Amino acid sequence: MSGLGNFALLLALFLSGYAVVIDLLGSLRRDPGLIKSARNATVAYMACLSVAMIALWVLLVKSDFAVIYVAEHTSRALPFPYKISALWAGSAGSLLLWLWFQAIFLVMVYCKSEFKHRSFSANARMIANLVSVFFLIILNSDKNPFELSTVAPVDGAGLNPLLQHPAMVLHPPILFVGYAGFLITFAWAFGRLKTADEDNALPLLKKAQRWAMFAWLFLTAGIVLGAWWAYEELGWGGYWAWDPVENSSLMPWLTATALLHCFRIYNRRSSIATWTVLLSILTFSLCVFGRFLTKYGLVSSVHAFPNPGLGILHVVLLIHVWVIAGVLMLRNYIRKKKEPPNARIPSHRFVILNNWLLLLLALVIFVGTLFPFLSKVFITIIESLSSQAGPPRAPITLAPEFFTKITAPGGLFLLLLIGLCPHLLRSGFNKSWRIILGVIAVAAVVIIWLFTCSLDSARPSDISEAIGWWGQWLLSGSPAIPCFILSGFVLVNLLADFVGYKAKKSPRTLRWYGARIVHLGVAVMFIGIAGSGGYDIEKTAALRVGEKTNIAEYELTFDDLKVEHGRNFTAVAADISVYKDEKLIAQLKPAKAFYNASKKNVSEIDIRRTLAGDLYLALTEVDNSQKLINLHIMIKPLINWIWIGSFVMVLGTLAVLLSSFKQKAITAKVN
Amino acid sequence: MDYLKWILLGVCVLFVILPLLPKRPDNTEKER
Repeated sequence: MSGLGNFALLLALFLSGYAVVIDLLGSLRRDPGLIKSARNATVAYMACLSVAMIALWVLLVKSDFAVIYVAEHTSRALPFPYKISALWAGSAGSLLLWLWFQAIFLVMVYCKSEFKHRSFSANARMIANLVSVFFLIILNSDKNPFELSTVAPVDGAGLNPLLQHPAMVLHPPILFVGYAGFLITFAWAFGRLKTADEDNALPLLKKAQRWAMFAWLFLTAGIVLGAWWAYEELGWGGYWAWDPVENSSLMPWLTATALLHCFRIYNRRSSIATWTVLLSILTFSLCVFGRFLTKYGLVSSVHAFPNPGLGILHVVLLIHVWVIAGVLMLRNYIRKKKEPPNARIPSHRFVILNNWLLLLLALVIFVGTLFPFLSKVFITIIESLSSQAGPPRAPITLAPEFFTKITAPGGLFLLLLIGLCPHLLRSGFNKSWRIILGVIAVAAVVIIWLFTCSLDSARPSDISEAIGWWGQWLLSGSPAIPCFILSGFVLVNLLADFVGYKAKKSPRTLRWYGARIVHLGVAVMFIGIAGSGGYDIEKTAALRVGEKTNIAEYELTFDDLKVEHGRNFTAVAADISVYKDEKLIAQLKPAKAFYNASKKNVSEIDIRRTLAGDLYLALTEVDNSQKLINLHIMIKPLINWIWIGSFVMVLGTLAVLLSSFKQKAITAKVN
Repeated sequence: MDYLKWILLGVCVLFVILPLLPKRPDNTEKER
């Protein structure tokens, strides 16, 4: 079976390479035969990847430990669902899964035989297949999941215990659907750059819009699932650590959010068209770069696979992509010089402001994530220039607090824009500009005033001292208070919009509701982020059986320590009774589990959940002989509103997607 | 499993080559 998988991967590489060359030739010579052949090669390449996927799944389920990938990521005792999910537990398998999704989407969108889109589809397919060629070279050479070992072990190393969680079964495929979905908009952008006849490409624009939304939906769900997994499984009580892997999924999410807004108001005669093309290319480039950043070992991460291998091919691919895009843009610019200049549409200003803001946030996160690498380069240059030899300097890594503080103002400004959104649509754009500028000016004056008051201790008066204290707290502390205020502003505005919107031109459609529901979800999520980040309490307590400890309004009693046996682990669980006002409100069971195959200890946390907040318990150390535990206790106010808000965002996006499919059905009927 | 490889290769090559084969004149007319 491994031989078949290997062969299928190699054949897929040849087929995608063939498709690139033949699509190029076909579109240059306008030969429908060649274009059809390239299209068939793309379908065959998808079939080959499907064969490789099935072959790898069969090997994993059969526990064929002669295959290195199977031996490294499964064991005989591993439950069946985790054997299936082991396919994306390693670098090679996850790359195969990403490629497979890409191939399926490519066939679904750009391999239809509609004659009038043939040239556009060929151009789009060509660039998408070029991406596949690079990925398949990596997969066929140094990240081959079908590589055989010289001696097959009796049992495998097992799946990393941290990955044995329902969220981790779903998180990678959902995220990869998102990444692969952005290949469609990326390929559309190239088709749009290359194809002169734009009118023929309009139906494909609608498709690209839907795919951008579909990919964004999955990327959002994937990121939130990852955050939920980190909260539930890692035992440190947080959900976002600004780790390079997390950042590498957030950066494309930010640019994709800007892209969605551009697609919504796409007009080929305005600058939004250029924005849409650039953001489509940038979003997918960030997906690829994120993979390179973490898998190549450029910056260290808890998620990274340390083997660099041919990771540099990711960068080579991105250079190719941007050079081709640059050349095509320059060509189009020279051609369009004779045409009248772009129309200036007032409503587009806000979307462009939104784009700049999201791009700025992505850029800050990009520089922050790459900072250890950049500082290393800088130190090496300085050291090579200076003649004096000194002790070697370590590269600088930025703390998570840096990211939180630097991105908070941008996030808050985005909330302000969301809150103003209904006004922008209702009361005319010139008036709304004045409202925005007024709010910003007042906010700036208040903040500067508060700041000077907080600094100037020589001018004491009761009011200014009090305000100064608040100002200092506002500026130096967490941005929770402004976040609550702005989230409230968004909620009130959206609710007022739901109740009081009198639409004359555009009736309330499913799309209308969907877009507002997504924004509602964002505000709810921000409330959760502010609450859990700004007001969390934590303590660590060493307890013997029968001892008590207090945190906030809760009293915790350590009742007993028990040993439990699972299928592939042994756990020591502590029984903790939680009292509030001397009334038993919950019995929690945090545990420490030992996984036999991988020989790893994992902390299994337990949580008392309420909408007001979570009581989060994690065992850091256990001494079973002395019945002694070290308990990490945390209170996370409002944290569940993050998950609720995310769910609302997903629901809203589904509503918008549904409405666009409805529209498609109506258009098809009319035609 | 070797025969599966040959089947896969054969099907893929046929599928890719078919559009390149010369067509009968009536088909060409239809296409136009």
